[in-house]
Amino acid sequence: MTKWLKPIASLRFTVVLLSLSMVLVLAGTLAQVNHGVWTVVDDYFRSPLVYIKFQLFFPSTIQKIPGGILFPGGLTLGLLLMINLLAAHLVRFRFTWKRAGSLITHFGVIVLIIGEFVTGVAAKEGKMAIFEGGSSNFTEDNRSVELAIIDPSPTDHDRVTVIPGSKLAGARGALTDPRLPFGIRVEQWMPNSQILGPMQATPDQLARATDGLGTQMAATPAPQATGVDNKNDLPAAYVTLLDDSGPVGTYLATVWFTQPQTVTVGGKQYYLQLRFTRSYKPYTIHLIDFKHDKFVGTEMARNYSSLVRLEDPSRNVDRQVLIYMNHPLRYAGETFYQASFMEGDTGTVLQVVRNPGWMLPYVSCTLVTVGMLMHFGLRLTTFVRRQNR
Amino acid sequence: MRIRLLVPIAAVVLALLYLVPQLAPRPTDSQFDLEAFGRIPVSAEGRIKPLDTVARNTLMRFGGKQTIRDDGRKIPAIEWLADLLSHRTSPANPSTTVAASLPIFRIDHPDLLDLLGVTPEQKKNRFSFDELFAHRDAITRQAGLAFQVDAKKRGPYQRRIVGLYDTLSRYIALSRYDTPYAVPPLTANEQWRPLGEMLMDGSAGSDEAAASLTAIFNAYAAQNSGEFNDAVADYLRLVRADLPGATRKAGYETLFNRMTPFYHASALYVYAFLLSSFAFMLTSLSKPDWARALGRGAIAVLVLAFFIHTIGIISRIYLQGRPPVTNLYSSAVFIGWICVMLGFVIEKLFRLGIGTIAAAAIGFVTLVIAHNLSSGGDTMEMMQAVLDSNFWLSTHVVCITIGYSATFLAGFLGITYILLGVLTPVLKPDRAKALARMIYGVICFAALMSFVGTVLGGIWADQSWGRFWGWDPKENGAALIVIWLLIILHARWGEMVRERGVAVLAVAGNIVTSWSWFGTNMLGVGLHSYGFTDSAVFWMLTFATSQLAIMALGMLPIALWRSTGVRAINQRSPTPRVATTSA
Amino acid sequence: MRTATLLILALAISGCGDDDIHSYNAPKTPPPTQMQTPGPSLAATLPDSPSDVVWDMPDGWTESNSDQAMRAATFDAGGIEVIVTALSGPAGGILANVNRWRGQIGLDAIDEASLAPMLTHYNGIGGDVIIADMTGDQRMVAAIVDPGDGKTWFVKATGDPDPIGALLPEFTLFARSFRTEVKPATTSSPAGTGSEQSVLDRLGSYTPPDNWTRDPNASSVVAAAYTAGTGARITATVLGGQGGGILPNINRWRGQVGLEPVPTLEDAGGQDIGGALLVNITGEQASIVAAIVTEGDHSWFFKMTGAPSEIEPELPAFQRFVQRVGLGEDTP
Repeated sequence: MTKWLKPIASLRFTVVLLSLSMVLVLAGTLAQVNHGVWTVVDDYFRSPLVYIKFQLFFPSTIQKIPGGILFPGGLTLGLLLMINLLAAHLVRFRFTWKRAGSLITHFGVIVLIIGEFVTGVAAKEGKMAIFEGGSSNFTEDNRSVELAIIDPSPTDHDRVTVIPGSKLAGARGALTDPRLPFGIRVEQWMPNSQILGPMQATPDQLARATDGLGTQMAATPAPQATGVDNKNDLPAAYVTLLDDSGPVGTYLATVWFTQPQTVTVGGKQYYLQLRFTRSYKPYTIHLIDFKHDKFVGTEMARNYSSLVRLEDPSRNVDRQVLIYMNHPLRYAGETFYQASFMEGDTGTVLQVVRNPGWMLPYVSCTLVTVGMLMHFGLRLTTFVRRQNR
Repeated sequence: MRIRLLVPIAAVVLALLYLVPQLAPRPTDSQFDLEAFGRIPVSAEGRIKPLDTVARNTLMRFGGKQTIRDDGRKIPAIEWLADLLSHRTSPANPSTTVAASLPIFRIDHPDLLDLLGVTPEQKKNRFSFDELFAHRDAITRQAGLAFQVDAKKRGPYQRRIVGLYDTLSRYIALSRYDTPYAVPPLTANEQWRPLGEMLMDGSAGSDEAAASLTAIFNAYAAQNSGEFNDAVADYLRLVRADLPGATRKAGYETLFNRMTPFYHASALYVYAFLLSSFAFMLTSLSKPDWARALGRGAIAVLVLAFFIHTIGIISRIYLQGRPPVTNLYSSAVFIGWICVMLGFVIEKLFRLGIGTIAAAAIGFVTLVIAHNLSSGGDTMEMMQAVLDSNFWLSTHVVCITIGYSATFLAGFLGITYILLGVLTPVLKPDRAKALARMIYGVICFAALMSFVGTVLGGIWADQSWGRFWGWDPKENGAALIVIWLLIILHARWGEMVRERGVAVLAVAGNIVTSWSWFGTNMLGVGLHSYGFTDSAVFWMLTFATSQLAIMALGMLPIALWRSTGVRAINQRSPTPRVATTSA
Repeated sequence: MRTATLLILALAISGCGDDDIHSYNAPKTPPPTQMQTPGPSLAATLPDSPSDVVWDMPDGWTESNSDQAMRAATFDAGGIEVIVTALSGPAGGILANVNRWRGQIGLDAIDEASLAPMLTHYNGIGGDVIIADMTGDQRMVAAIVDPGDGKTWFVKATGDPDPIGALLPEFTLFARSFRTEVKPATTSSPAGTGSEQSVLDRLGSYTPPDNWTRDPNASSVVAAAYTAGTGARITATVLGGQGGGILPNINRWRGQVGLEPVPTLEDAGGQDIGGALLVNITGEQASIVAAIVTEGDHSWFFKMTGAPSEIEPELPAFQRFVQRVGLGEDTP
């Protein structure tokens, strides 16, 4: 067993893995010039393999370089580093005080890698945008959309059926899933779009929809956002609703429309909306006051703060909280950060994060720091003693 | 015996002979008390600062210097500002003002010069406002076109024309009193206000401060020195009564501007470097007494330089009310400071003179880098809301900066090892060993500080927006340094490299650190879009190439190294594997 | 090694399971309201540009607030809505836009060849102005203006044939007045040299004649504006440098009232009122009386605009205004 464990446990392997990690981190940094950070994180650091183009390392204006290389991704390297670490300790197992420092450090590193893995898999982030005086009980993920079909007929709640954007994008023919209240055929899916007002759209474009807002405004495809500069895609779709007798109408559903459209299918009224993926919460946040102080005579922000009222009937909570920079609200396993605000200071945008693995990096860092201090501290004292001879 | 004492004293005396005259107040033949005028506090870019700072920063922005040369005379920034704000008519040309006819703008780009109708033969790169304003239609049109393009995608010409338009707008805003916000809040519930607005809406007459400021400008325009000096003194009295803290700080900042501590510190670092290098040479030439004496002289001068450097940093902390590192400029100043301190420690431990050399060299270089970073404007700029936390600024940022310093120091020592080892015979075995131990020790320290600093950054991010690690360029840059230092340590522990290898890898650490410090900032500006025309990119690439060249030198077969001492250590046969985790 | 790789793959696949169609109960939301405008603040907005495009708003027009995101300005010209929009770059070209407008009033599209006779070209101050006058279900006059700021500006008015016809001259002048202005340079110093006062000072302390009312909502370029009892409009504006020169400005004003430019100052005619040149430019339906006063490194423009009948009675008062405020003379 030790025979094939030895190379896995060797320092040589550690150095090789660390060097590969450096290349991956560098590539993952350069890639962010042209692609949004989320895309890069998914492709480079949270996947087992990544194709790195050689062009990444050279400015394209100087020389065009074709080709690339298949490279181990963050998942692979992280796993291998963990294995290397565990194996090293199995082979060179020493529980002495001298080794204690490095043992603790390495254990901390293992926790760190696990922590990043847990975050990647389990963390959920969303945004909550609230107008001053208004309230919200859901978070939105503006990296994905859903087509929501809302059935308002029940008396005390709405029955919402959602179709993820990814499903609409890949739809071939009609979607007639039994979970849907009616069939939907995607006439055109636009991952990113621009909206043409009544004065700019041609009659042909306005005729694509038979009903609803699409008869007054039209959507045309736009090049997809790279995610740089925090711009995201604003999708749109022309969808035909189908009931038992056939098509009922074609509608333009797009994130550009801030409110749902009323549709009637099979004698029943529904609301239809293409919106950022929502996650409803059992509590409501009311925005009482948003403050945006700037430095005198500049547009630079001095501080942002949101005075909110947290209302949660399920837990009997109704209190006021001030959320500001570096001072989030922690509630119900989620943390609310002051992220941004609406144009004209009319409202606030909170970042809502649920990360079950949040504590792991803290644990890890404590372990590594303590371990390093022990390890280097010990060496420093021997070192100084030797010098002063 | 005597040289032990005399030489260091002589060295310090020489240093003081240079320093004292520089720091003494300059006699001026002007009857106008411009020094007091410079102390007037105003609010600009969100910070309360003296007019002296506004003047210096503006001239730096426009022309890269804090003074103007006109007819052989050097005009100080504050005098120029007085001319501008008073709209003093030019005696030579009554249809314009003095300020508008001074050549304060520096333009080098050939296409811009073309736009202004300047031919290469004219060799003209300084312009007055009047000269530029004459072309304003063309400038506005070109700038308008450039503004349509997304800021990150603009070509070099477009960036510069936008910059020129911005510069002209700034000048105009100054002369219209739209900036800085000169009128102080003398009663409760008031804010700093721009004088221009008050003049336009007529409220200037009824505001004591505004009227007083106007009187100052009028007096200067009329070139009435008595009235001017009185008006300035009155105004300062007025403001001091209601805003004593701001006035005091503005006064100190004016003094600080004049003293230029970092400039003098860097001059002294050069001096210390020469002394310590000379001392090192003498050791090799077997003149131990003189070598030691010069060495002590070098340390004495270094202490003096460090003292001035420290005063500069403390002054900035006082003036800003913030921990020492808040932007790129202050990080450069701080890196130098830490490296000098570490240099002292190394010198104390090893007493080889190398610590002093390293301290002086790095101190000088970092202050030069800092100076080059100061051309953009106010180095004590305000910080955005997200970064505005004294706790994290003093822990995370300081730690990371110390990590940078240590890595650079290790890199410098590595360069010393390679250059001395390959090119000279002075690296005897004991020296080589000591130097190698220095490098190793500093790397350990760097690894610890870099790791702790990076972790603190993660915790700050987690507290701020819920994400411990976001893989963004700056974070990745810090991670790269940590990983690289770990590679060096593990490679050494696994006996994959020896002293020479560690030295070479330490030099590579310089490239990794400069990437993290500077390179990540340049990504957003479109490193891909213009390649080599921006000077910062040029310098970074030059630096990286130089380090690679030294590394290549270091990779020469040991047999070719001139210092025989190095050979012995690096050619030892590997020790039998007993404990392979650490050496 | 192999097991490790399989493990990684398994984890990776499980990690990226796509969300599927699903239903849930959500709290009741209010039903959607009828009115809709394209949504989030992420919606396209006009890019910022530093060069302000300014125009001269004809008398009798008032600016109305519009909440339509695409419009730069909307005016009410005696009951007719005049809409101003701007789009980056060439904005589709002339033919495409003309056909779009034709479609909006029920006319068929035309081709490139038939386009030329439909358009009238003018020289605007800022650049070219093209005006199309089309009659279909309604009559529409539309102008395409390029004031030189990289955007294409559209001005449009739609209505019944007669009112639109009456509006056309004003509309044309308005479209031709689009131009970019660098923000003006210094207002004069708080006080000039010695005991001299500046124009701004004098303007601030000026008492206008009884039948002139001060207009508080002057645009950013105008330092002061008055409306005379007759309806004439008087403005005082400051611009940096020479403001472009006397002759070019005179020709600009001539263009504004529909006259052809003149080659030299002599041809412009004008009266020397001791320190400034006063020119009286009379067009068929509109007149401009103006004087330029240079002060230091900038120039003051004093202007009176209106119909000839509105301007005539105010000439002496205007001249006194220029002399007193602009030149600092002590005229009675």
